[in-house]
Amino acid sequence: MRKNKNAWYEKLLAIPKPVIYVIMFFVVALPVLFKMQISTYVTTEVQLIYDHMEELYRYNLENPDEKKAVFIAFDYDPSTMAELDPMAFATLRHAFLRDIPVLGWSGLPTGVDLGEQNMHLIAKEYGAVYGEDYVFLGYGYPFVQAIIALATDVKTFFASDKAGNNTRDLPLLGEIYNFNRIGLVFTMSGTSYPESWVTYANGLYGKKVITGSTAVSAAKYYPFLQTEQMSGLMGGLKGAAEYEQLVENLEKEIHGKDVKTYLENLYRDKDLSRYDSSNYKTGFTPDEIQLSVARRSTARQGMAPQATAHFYVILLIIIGNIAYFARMRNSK
Amino acid sequence: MKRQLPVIITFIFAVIGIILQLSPVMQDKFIDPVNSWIASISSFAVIIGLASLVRHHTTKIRRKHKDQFFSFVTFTALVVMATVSIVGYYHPGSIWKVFADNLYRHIMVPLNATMFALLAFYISSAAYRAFRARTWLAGTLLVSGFIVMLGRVAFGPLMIAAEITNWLMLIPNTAAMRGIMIGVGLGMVATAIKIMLGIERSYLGGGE
Repeated sequence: MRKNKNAWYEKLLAIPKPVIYVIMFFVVALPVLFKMQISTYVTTEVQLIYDHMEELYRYNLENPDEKKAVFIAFDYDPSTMAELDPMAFATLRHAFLRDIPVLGWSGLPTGVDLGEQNMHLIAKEYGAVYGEDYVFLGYGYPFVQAIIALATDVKTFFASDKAGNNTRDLPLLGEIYNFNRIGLVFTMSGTSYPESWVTYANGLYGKKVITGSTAVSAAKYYPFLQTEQMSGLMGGLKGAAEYEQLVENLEKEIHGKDVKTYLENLYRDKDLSRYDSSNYKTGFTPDEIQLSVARRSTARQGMAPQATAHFYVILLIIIGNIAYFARMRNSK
Repeated sequence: MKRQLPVIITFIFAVIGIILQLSPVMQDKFIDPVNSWIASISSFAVIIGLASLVRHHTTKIRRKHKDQFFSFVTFTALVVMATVSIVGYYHPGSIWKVFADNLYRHIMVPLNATMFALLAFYISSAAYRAFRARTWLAGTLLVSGFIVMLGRVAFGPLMIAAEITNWLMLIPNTAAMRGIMIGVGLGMVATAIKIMLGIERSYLGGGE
């Protein structure tokens, strides 16, 4: 087959890779620079998560002495934090808004600091007290044994938490130390860990497992959703944006629309001796308030560059195929 | 005996594992000690991994491999990160802890995130050069991918793509994934039986 190098389709097919990369860079960078934001529609699988959390909240209201917690497994590392961090933020926010106790750990060594940092970060926005309202256990290793330990007493597996506190000294773990008092299990991961949570936490102990996964991994979890082995699914930034939107509406209902004023006044009437400064410093600087407000829409801000990147990729596919078929047609 | 003993141990513990799964009474009695054993043995994997990494890079440096510079980087990162993290853990208010946190936040996090972010560039290049509707199967994949990409960021008049995306994910995707998972599951069972019976011994190493 002889190529006609001057043909328009040959020129299109010969666009060098660096040009495609540079355009992609701008396509992603511009919406970030202009702080574009996209509101998204809510899918059933994310609405389910919200409803399960609200159900847990109602249970806790009816049973104040037998409160159940949510367990959050930060099974991700910095490589996937762009997609999974906003999910963790929204989940923690929902839990603290509804005064639901939170236990957490990370199944990945590189995710331990990330998980701990996120927990303290969001706990600070709601005045949650470490050891009473939330606990971060540390590195859940070996992973499967760590899950199974939750069936008996997690304190025997974790003698100390991530910060080195004796787990027997933490009041929350005195009450909630196994699956009996855990209402929901969240796993956020770009790995296959959610499958292990389904096998053990759901399969062996009947716990409701909710998964937050990267967009590329989400497709493989839909069968679990249909069989109700997973009780909800957040897929990629889109899933995070949906949940974030739902939680923001709830927050506006509870604290009003003015988040800045809420944050400024949060620690005004609180007994500050309850807070350990090694977890977080009470009170907010103006910069922290600004960051905190921005963090409430991390996923939706991320949706804008994702949208433009998707449109760009679609455009590339169309152009590439048109040029390809034009070449095929002319070569016949 | 060197190869037979591990096979015998594997067989015995595999049978114990099966019995524990099948008998609730036995599970109640023995699951905790078995879990402790697994936890203890798994910890040795870290030591083996570390030893293997050190040996690999030491060999590279000794042989003056052209990429030995990266081996030095690996060793430096390993020693510095481990030292500051361990010392920082035992002295929470010290400069070591601050150093460890900064290494994680300002080096490890951006490096790791950058690696994953590069995917956007590879996808754009692949979409342009490789994603062709050469056959009807490839065409189906292309159209589905097209709709899902659109549906994930849909708004306004594009909401029809969102509806189709939801259907694609919930019905054809679930059906296909289930088939794949059943296949993988059967493969895992077959491999487990082969390992248990000593037919599959590649995990022992030393093969061709």
